[in-house]
Amino acid sequence: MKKKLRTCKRFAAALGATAFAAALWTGPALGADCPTVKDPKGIKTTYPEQLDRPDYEQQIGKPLALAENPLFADRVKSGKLPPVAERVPEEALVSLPYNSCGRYGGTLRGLAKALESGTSEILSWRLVNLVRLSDDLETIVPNVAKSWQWNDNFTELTVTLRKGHKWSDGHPFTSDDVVFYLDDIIKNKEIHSTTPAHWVVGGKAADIEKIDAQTFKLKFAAPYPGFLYYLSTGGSYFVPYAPKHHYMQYHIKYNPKANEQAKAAGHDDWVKYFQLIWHKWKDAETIPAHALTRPTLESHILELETNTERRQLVANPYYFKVDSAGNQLPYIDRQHERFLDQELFSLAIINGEVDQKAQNLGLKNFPVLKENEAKGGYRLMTPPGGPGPTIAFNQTHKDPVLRKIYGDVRFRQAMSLAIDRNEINEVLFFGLGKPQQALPLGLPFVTDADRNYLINHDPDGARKLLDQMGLKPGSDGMRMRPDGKPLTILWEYSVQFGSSEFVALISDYWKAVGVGVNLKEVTTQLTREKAAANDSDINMEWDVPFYPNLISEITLYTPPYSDLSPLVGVPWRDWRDTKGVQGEEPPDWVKRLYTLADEWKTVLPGSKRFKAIGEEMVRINLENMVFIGSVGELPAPTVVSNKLGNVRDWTVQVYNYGRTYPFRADQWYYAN
Amino acid sequence: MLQLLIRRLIYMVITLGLVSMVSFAIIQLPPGDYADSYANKRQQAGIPVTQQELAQMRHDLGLDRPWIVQYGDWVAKILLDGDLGYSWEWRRPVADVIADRLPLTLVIAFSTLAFMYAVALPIGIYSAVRQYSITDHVFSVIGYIGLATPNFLLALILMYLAQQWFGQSVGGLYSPEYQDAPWSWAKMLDLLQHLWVPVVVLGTAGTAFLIRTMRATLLDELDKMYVTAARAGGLSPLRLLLKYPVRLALNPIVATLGWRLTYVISGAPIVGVVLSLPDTGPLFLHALLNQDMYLAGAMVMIYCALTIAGTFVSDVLLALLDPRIRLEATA
Amino acid sequence: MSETAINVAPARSRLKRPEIATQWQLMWWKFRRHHMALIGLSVLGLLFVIAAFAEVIAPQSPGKRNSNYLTGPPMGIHFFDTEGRFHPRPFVYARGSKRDPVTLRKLPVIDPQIRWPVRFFVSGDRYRFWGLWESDFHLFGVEGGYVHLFGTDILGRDVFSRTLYATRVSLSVALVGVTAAFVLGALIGGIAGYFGGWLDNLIMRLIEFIRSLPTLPLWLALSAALPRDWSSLQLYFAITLILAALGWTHLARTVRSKLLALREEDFVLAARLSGCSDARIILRHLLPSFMSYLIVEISISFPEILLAETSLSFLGLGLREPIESWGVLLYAAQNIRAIAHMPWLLIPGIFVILAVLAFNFVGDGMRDAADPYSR
Repeated sequence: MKKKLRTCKRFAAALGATAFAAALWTGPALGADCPTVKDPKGIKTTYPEQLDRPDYEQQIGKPLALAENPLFADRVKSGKLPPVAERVPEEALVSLPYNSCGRYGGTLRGLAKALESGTSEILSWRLVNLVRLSDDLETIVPNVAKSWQWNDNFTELTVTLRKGHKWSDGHPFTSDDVVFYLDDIIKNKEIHSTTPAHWVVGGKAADIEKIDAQTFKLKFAAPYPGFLYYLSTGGSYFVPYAPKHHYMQYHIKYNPKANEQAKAAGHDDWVKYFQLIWHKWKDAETIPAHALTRPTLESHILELETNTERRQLVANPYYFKVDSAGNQLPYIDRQHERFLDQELFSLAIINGEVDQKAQNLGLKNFPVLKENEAKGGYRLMTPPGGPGPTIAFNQTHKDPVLRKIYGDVRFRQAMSLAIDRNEINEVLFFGLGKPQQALPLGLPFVTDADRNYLINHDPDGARKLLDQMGLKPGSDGMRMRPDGKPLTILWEYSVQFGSSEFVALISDYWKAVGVGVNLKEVTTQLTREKAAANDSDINMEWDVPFYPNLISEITLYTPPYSDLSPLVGVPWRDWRDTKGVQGEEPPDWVKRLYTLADEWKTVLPGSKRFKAIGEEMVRINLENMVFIGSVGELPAPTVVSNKLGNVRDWTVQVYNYGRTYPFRADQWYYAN
Repeated sequence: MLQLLIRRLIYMVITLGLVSMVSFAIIQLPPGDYADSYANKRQQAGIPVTQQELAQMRHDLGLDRPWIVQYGDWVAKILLDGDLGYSWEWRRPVADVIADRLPLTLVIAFSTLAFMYAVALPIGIYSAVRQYSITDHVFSVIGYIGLATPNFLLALILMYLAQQWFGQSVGGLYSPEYQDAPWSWAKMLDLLQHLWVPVVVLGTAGTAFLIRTMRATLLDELDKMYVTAARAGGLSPLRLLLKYPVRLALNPIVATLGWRLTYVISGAPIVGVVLSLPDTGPLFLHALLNQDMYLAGAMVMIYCALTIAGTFVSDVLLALLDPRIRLEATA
Repeated sequence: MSETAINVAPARSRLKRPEIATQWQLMWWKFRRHHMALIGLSVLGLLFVIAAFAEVIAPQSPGKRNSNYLTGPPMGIHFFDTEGRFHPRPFVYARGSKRDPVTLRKLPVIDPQIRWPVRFFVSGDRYRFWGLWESDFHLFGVEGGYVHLFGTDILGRDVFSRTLYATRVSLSVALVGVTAAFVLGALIGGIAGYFGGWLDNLIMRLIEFIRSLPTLPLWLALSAALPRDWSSLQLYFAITLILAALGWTHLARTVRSKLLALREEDFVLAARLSGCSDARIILRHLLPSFMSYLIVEISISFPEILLAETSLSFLGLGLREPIESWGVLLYAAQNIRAIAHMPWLLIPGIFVILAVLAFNFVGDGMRDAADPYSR
């Protein structure tokens, strides 16, 4: 039976391969002239790896001949779809492929945990926004937007879109769509009872003015130089435009019958209905049947109604990018996202069922994945990912004795010195991490001295500090609090932020210097509740910001360091927000941080003053040992099928940088 | 008889109502609510969520109302509109989500039942007839190992071995290429290939139980005088065995048919999760963990209805099979 | 009349006189015939000894990390060395671990030249026996190194020692759970069966209701609702009580149906006529007459509760680190990496299977023995 099955399978595979080859054969000939990143053939670009069509045509001295994707050939022939020359904008983006102009065909297979869980990676394959962060992770390059211009003090941003750019249903994409988004969705008080934070600057929501069909101007009440950084990195998932022609029928401002229509569809009112069919998170599927009709600008659009098993997308015939030979992107016909239990990810990968995967893969799976590289037909890379777990002591603890202890910087320094980071790195992270103090990542003004601050393993030094503080060891070697009770840290942790092994190791180190630890594994909900109630001893949920995130959101580096799960200093924030009415007065270093943060928001990123502020903030946070770090950037195992071409190795693999967004998945293709 | 049926039906409806209310309350019990688990997932994906958004979400979903109000709302919707509510997790009506998964649940359940009975009955009979023999012991041990092994443990191991030895595709009931394909022999074959792991895993525990029950009741029967009498009368052993004691011993087996069904259906969640089966099991578990109220509530009602229906079926079958019970009921 | 011929018989020959053996003796003889049950009983005995003396039998403390031997496979005990020489004292080869440069997996490095002899009744890691007496006496240990009979986990903790300590936790959870379920079930079922009427009806409806509740959400909700700032010990007992609270229904039904049948018997009538109180009748006269069935029920619910605790811990809802139970240990083994590279982490599963098997066989034996007058 097994043999028959094998032969059966082989036969099916052979048949499939022949069919595939046949399909490819009818594909277009590769552009004879195909400047790539590897070999630009003299083409000059202002921004790395891409340029606009008019500019390109001028450089090659002739109009660019566009080639049709065979996927659409039938529909074009029967007249259902206009030919490619009418679908691609005049000011299309010409994308220089990394290695070679690819060929059409194939299905990119990916995995996610559930409909809206672990899907940001696959979303980043097809994502577009006004701007994009280039793969050097520094330059902001045009994407949907053709160009932009700030005014002198960064309070006005004029953006120009591309002429001829169309939505995936053929309708023109203009600045009306951006105006609709901001005025009618974001600032509409019924849909958003509070305007989302990223659009509120200087206490006021941003304003938009349409200049012409391709140009609009955003006006901010205070300087907002970090805006484009936000859009090109962590904010890339939230596009600042929406198809007006599609949504206006559901909006009361444009359709007075919107309420009746909503009720007829079975919803309470137009707002509830609207919130179901529009969501800032693209994968929020709402009504699956409706999602099929929703126009987008991305490289792939929904092909089948999403169900609980999978999401399937097909190439967008109106995608605005072409390669340097005139082939309309994307090359890959389809994207297939399968929902699978996380534990089974590595098994599916070894079985060769997945073409690209990094999110939720877990460093612990590295050996199994590495062993099966040849068998599964993929290669395993380890670009830097997020940092290892960090520990923050609650310096404003409710219990006054603990508050005094945790609030004493010597205690925190001792706790940092007691940790053997090399052992942690070896035991938990395969020696792949780098012991490092807790810092935001990618900061250009951080020095090695900063990174190595108090990371050495010095239990004697730790003991000395604790002795200095007056915490005397009792008869069993464990230290006593000033009130006579044994010093025990109640560490309630959630495995989401630190594995139970990590916690066990750290508590061993602390016990070795005489500090008792009571470990308890709890749910994330509980850690957040306790943190918000200022009732936790240790908090580990610091969404460690990357440089671009800090540019747009400096509050992530000032107390309480997180909105969702405050790490340190809830009462200090209350004091600041209520101007002294509630909360407690923070120590001077916190006040200094707040002042610096306020100034940071107004200064141009990259300028001298900007760097100086950043350095000082880093120094203050480090010297006051707000966070105790373990290891720095941990590699994020990333799997790529050997069949894919034009894949550029990731230089960073995190959500905060938009995952694959800087690395241009829309020019990947199946090489064989 | 009819009176019995009607009375049982009324009990069923009342129990269903009570169970749904209690379950709703219990689902609510753990701290946090759907908004929290939503924020959790976002955070896991690295997407920051603010308290402001959470508050908005709670308000939109009506999570800030007391649970009894939410429950009342939901029941009203079911009775008046036939609307089982909306699943926030899947962002579709609950009825759609369940309907997606229910057919496969039934396929797995019935295949498992068939497997269980086909394997257990012959072994049980054999064990009883050859009591204390080596074969009896061997079969007992095999059966019990199935009973004793926690099925989730077995699930992951079998899945791993299936991939390593047979190159079988991972998770779900179909290989990716057949998932959306129209029905064909190849697809059926693919389904069978994937079905054996969950069926074996789910079925082993039930098989052992059936073996034991069959063996025990058959032993009881074989002791009785009529068997000795029939043997003395000269009936061939096999015919004797099958015609009389086995038929009688089947009574309790058949009576528990309903229970077996509900066991398989509600025991499936853990296994389904491990194997990533597209049936209602993982759906249910995730709904509970994420406090997706209406989906979880609807699933509880369905399981409960199945349980009650199962008991009911058992009682009816028993009444049909055993005239004594029928007489007793009318007495 | 020769009364002497009937009553008095020498103790020895009583063994062969089934006519005058007591009910319990008959049961024991019947039980002995069931070979598997005997094996089961001895396995159980062994497990209980392990549970009682875990600290002594385990060569290491369960939390002790061996940084020299991470994710190491089980170390074999040898009598013959590589040159074929026999050593009367068993030994293990010296082992360390080395990281494979490509897959980064820690692989064991065995040095056949260095032998660590196994010694018995040694001094080892200090512990508090049952949290009461301090000692460092261990059943066996190894000189000059370490011994890991079941290998180590990713932190280098000895799986053998952890499994032994986990035996104590798992078995005691099952024991407490079963006892609680038994008490609840016998009490409620007894009341229902004995008094009958509307009380019986009410209790039966309640039982049916509880049985209709799907167990999974109940477990989930109840476990998740437990205040997480309870100490490990409190959580531990709370879990067992939860399991008991859901498990008593089966026993109650059995007790009730038996009582319903028995209370019409003559001996009950006689007891009532002679003035016994209801409680006395239930406890002294009725319960013992179907004690055998009760014991069988208990032996069945033991493995059920054991498996329930294991499942709960697997889902991450029951006991958790740093408490060790079989379920907690298996939870750490529930991933592809463990199955592929560290399959020895699944050994606690074998213990689970053994315990459940043993209980089932004993239960079977008891079931057979409960009716001593049958074939």
